[in-house]
Amino acid sequence: MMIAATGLVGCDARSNHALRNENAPQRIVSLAPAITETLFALGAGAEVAGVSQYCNYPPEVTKLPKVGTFLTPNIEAIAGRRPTIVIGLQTSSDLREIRALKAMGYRTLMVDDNSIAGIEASIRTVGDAIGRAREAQALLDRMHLKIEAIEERLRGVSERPVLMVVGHQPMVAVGTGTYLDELLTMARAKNIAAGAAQAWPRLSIEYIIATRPEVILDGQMGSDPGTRSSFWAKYPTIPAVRAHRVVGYPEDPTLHPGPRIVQTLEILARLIHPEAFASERDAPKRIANDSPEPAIATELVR
Amino acid sequence: MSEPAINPESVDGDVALREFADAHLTRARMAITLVVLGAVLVVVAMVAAAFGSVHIDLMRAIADSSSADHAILFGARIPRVLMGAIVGAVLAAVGAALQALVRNPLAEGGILGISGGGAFGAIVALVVFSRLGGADAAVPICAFAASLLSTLAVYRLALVDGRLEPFTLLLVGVIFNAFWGAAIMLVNSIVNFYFTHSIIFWLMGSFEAPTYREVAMVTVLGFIGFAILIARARDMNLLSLGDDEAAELGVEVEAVRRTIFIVTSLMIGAAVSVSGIISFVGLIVPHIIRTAIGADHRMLIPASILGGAAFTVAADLIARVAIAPSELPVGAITALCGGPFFIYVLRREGRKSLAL
Repeated sequence: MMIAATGLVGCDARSNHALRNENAPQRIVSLAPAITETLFALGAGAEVAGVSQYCNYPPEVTKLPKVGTFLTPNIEAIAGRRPTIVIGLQTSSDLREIRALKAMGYRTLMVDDNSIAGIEASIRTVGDAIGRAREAQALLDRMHLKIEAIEERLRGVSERPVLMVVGHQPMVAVGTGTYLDELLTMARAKNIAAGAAQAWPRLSIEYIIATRPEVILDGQMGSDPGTRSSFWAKYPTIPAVRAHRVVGYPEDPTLHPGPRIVQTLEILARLIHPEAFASERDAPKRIANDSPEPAIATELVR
Repeated sequence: MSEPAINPESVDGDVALREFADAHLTRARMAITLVVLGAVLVVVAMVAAAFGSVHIDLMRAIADSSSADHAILFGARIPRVLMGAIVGAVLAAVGAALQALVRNPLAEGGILGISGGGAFGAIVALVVFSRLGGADAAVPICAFAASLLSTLAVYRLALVDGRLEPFTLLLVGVIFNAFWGAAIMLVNSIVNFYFTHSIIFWLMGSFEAPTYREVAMVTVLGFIGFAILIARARDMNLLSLGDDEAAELGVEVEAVRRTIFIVTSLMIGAAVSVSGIISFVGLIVPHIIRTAIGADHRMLIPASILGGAAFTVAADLIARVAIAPSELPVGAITALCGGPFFIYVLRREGRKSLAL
């Protein structure tokens, strides 16, 4: 049933493709932060008619009408925005709601945000769907340049065993099959959570002690500076704890699988291999610092 | 605990007791039961300390204090086994006491709405303090405070003409439970969805990464509670006969009831504040023990303490190793393993075993 529905959603986006005039201004409803960010990065910000409650970037989206979340989209609020297209996430959008929207005659497009290839394909698909294929290609080119610049900087750097956790209770880590795992690999990290078969494994502290990560990226510390002393200090044999390499990362943009993944890659690379960036302290500020500034973020996306 | 079976000051009480106990309670029988259960607990705890999501060399763990094996055994595994044992003991003892208090076989810690209040406090603290800082320390404190407030509210609302009425208490508790469940779901739909993992954590319960200080806190409160419940065990036996009968036999019904309610509430509050809501332990452990050794609370309470500890440590071992290195919520294991086993015992023993 779910598979059938997903298939239908995919077909719908394609079959409508030829019938509509993509060059006319759209009224777009976005159901997820990464989609909203993609739309603004493609220069379609003025055409966004509604966003999800979680959308917070760029800052002007907070003033746009809210239509629920990607977990619970509000059909009435969406219809009230009279959208020409509704864009959501394949994996998490509520398919009953999407089916209802389709039955009401709205054009829907479900995109994939689970891998870097999926994110790039989504940018292309969204660009095609709203008549901005050229902008999509330009955005992808800029992203690739940025990724190459970071990979260049990390050339010859040896891999470090790294743990990236989202929260403490429970200890949910970034596992295989996620875009963040791919970004960690690109940032020359060996993700210790890859030993668990899940995308977001709930790791035991024993496993973390045994796998001896040299860097721990702790999402809870990104917003809670008191965490380090009270939690990790209990486990001093972990190399990252002994060497004071337990560091926080900002939830935004790290957990937003959109065009800002290049910014996330840079944040991760700097946290995992600070020495690789040490020589560039005085160089032009092309590369974002640990707490991303809107100006830099805009530069990355534009 | 070593109270003589024949109490000279109330021969009537002991005559009544024979209706509950299958055989006459003697020092020897009590000692054998507790030694057997104690031995089971020790064996389960040792197995739980020896096995986990990663293999460790126990000799090196003990000999070399700078090894990762040492850190895993003493820093991660032993505090966790201790936490599972004390929380399981608290849940089972509280279940046994509450079943006597409200004279209902379905009673357990969760049903009085106290653990729901604690979980709500923990979740709100988590959301608030993850922004302000210090969430790890603030969450158990707020959970305990919320369960205390919940206790006071349930107690106040269950008073009818100044008396704690079991039936009203049960209904108020059930409604509080549903209320807190709804409040938690409300928070879940308002806050960022990254909190969903944490909210499920508090609703399903877990012993992951406890500190020795948390273990000590629950242990102190737990043992004070055990002492009071064991001291009131004879009164619980008599309460099971009915209020009037208990009063005739010299029980100060209101005072006893108030004591048991307050003590069990504090114990549940302490357990929830560190481990979230772990269901089923308080329900099934006392019932299984009752089918084995009878309904005399002088025996049932200490046996539930040991049995609850062993059962919960075993369930947590499964939660740790089943899909290692990932973990399962222990509350799901207690319910999944405990439920069918409970039904099996129930069917085998027949209805009479459930009578209080």
